[in-house]
Order: sequence, then structure tokens, then C-alpha cells
Amino acid sequence: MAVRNRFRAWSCAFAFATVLALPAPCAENPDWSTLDPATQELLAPWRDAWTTLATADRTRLLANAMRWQAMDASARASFMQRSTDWQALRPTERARIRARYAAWRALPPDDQARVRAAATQFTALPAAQQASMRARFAALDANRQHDWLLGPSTGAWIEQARTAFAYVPDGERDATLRMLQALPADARTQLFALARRLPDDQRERLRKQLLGTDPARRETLLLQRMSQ
Amino acid sequence: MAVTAPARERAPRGPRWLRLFLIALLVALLATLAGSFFWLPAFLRNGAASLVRVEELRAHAPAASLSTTAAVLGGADFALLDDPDGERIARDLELYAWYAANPNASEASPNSPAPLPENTAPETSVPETEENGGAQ
Repeated sequence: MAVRNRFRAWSCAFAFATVLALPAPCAENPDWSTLDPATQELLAPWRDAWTTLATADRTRLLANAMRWQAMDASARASFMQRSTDWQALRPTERARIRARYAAWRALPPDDQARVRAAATQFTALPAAQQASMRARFAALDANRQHDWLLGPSTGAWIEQARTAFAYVPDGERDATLRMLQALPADARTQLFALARRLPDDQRERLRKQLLGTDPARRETLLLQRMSQ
Repeated sequence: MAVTAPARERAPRGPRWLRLFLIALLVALLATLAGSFFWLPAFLRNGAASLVRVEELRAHAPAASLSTTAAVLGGADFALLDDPDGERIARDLELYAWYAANPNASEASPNSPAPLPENTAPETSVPETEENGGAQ
């Protein structure tokens, strides 16, 4: 009896795991036949290749098609005009704007709100003052200008981070940046001050220790390290 | 008793036709070498280009396989074009982010770095003496 129950338990577990492993028939990855006729008509050029498309491409095409269907005639005309203007730009300019748009989308909501408000405030300035501000910004070092693509919050301290942790391996830069962004402002300032006082090897050890620590415990670890 | 002198040994020689053939081949090669100073075949004169077949392009490009709408839907920039406000901000993102962090930028020096804490000396630069006991 016990053997039979154990067999049933294992069977249930196996079936459950199989169900979890199977791709769910979600709306993001539907078969062509399940699309409504209007969407099929819009996406007709991809009908033959639909099954071979990557899931991300199918999802993107579907989202684009749904967005297009939600637009009225004037919105579509406006979109097509923007598309025409966009194609008229030089490829290098398009690449520059694409990179900045990706950076903009990657900003946290608070930073997006700050930047949006700053843009509104900036464009309301008199033209001469705008030109003056642009000239002041253009006078910054190119690396420093680029830093501000990380947003107003990170851009304000990234220079200190670069001074504190000058040589971070390529594969750990993103993780280190995320770790620093997740720290409370006070803890981050203390970390920069501490890192500047430490010799290279201890500073690197501290950085790796922080990276390997649970985010919720990093501040505690930092306080312990400060008290040593 | 007279002893006959041994016959003079002679190197073995190949058949006569082979010698004639080799001599003829040598003469032909020398003649070709001498001739190459005065004449080259066309494909060597013009380089590899003369070996490439060239055809004129069709007068009309093939019809586009995607309609304008389909090209827009399949384009990688759909999200960007669908967000004109975001695109406008993105064009000057670094400027606006700097301005957001420095609303009074007109009063400050643009290159002023963030202030450093007073104690920036590495710990190792402090000699560990009996007086401080190395406590840091």
C-alpha cells in the first residue's frame, strides 16, 4: 500500500513538472490560425514564416499589429509621417536616437518623471538661455556627458563610483552598477568614502563581497565593515 | 700475352627520342618565356576583371515584397515611432538628465566634480605605530 502511494505521489509530481515544462498556450505565442482575420491580414507577409519566427519576434509583431489596429485614421497618418521623417535621418543619427531611447526606456519611473519635468522646464526657457545651457553641457567631458544617460539619480554619483572603483572587470560592471543603484543614498556615499580609503586588494574584496551578498543584507554588511 | 685495355665506361644514356623530346620542350619553354616579354593574353592584361561576367541591372527594381504598413509593423523602431514624446526626450536625454540633477546649473561651474570626503588617503598610507596601534 505504501509503495502504491509513493508511486502515485511520484506520478503526480512528474505530471505536474511536465505540465510546468510544456509551453503554455498563452496569448503572446499563438498559432496563426488563432489570430483574428484583421490581424492575419496585417501580418500576412509573415504567414508562411510564422512558425519559424522567434517568440520575441512574434510577440513584437502581434503587439505592433494590435497597436496599429487601435489607432484611428489620423493617428495612423501621423505615425506614417513620423516614419517618413525617421527614414530621412542619417543612419548614424537614427542609431544615436535609438540608443538614447533605449536608455530612456531603461530609466526607473522616478527618473523618467524627473527627466520629463526637466525637459518641459528646459523647453520653456528663452532660446538664449537654452543655448547657454546647451553650451555649458557641451563643455563637459564627453564621458561625463555620457554618464547622464544613466539618468539624473545615477548620473549624480557615477563619477564618484568611477573614482572609488576604478577597475571593475567587464563582466561585473552591470552587476556592480545595479548593486550601487540599489543601495540607499547614505550607504552608497559611505561605501564610496570607505572604498577610497582602502588599498586596491581590500577594495576589490569588499566589492565582490557586496556583490555576493543578498541585496537586503548589503547595508548591514557595509555598516559592519565601516565599524571595523 | 697482350692484355687488352678495359673498355672506357660510358654513362648510361636514355633512349634517343626522350632526349629529343626534352630538348624540344626546353626550346618551347624558352621561346614562351621570351615571348611573354612582348605579348600577354587578354585575361592577364586586364587582370581578373576580364574573367568576371558582367550583366546590366534590370531597368526596374523588383517590386517591394512588403507594403508600407507591413514595413512599419515589422520595423524595429515601431515602439520609438509610437512614442513621439519619449523620442523627443530621448534625443537630448543626457542634457535633460543633467538639467534635472542641476536645476541651478547656470550658477555653477559645469565641470565641478562631486565633493570628495576629507579623508581620502588609503589606509596603508597611515603608518601603524605604537601610538595609533594601527586602529582604523
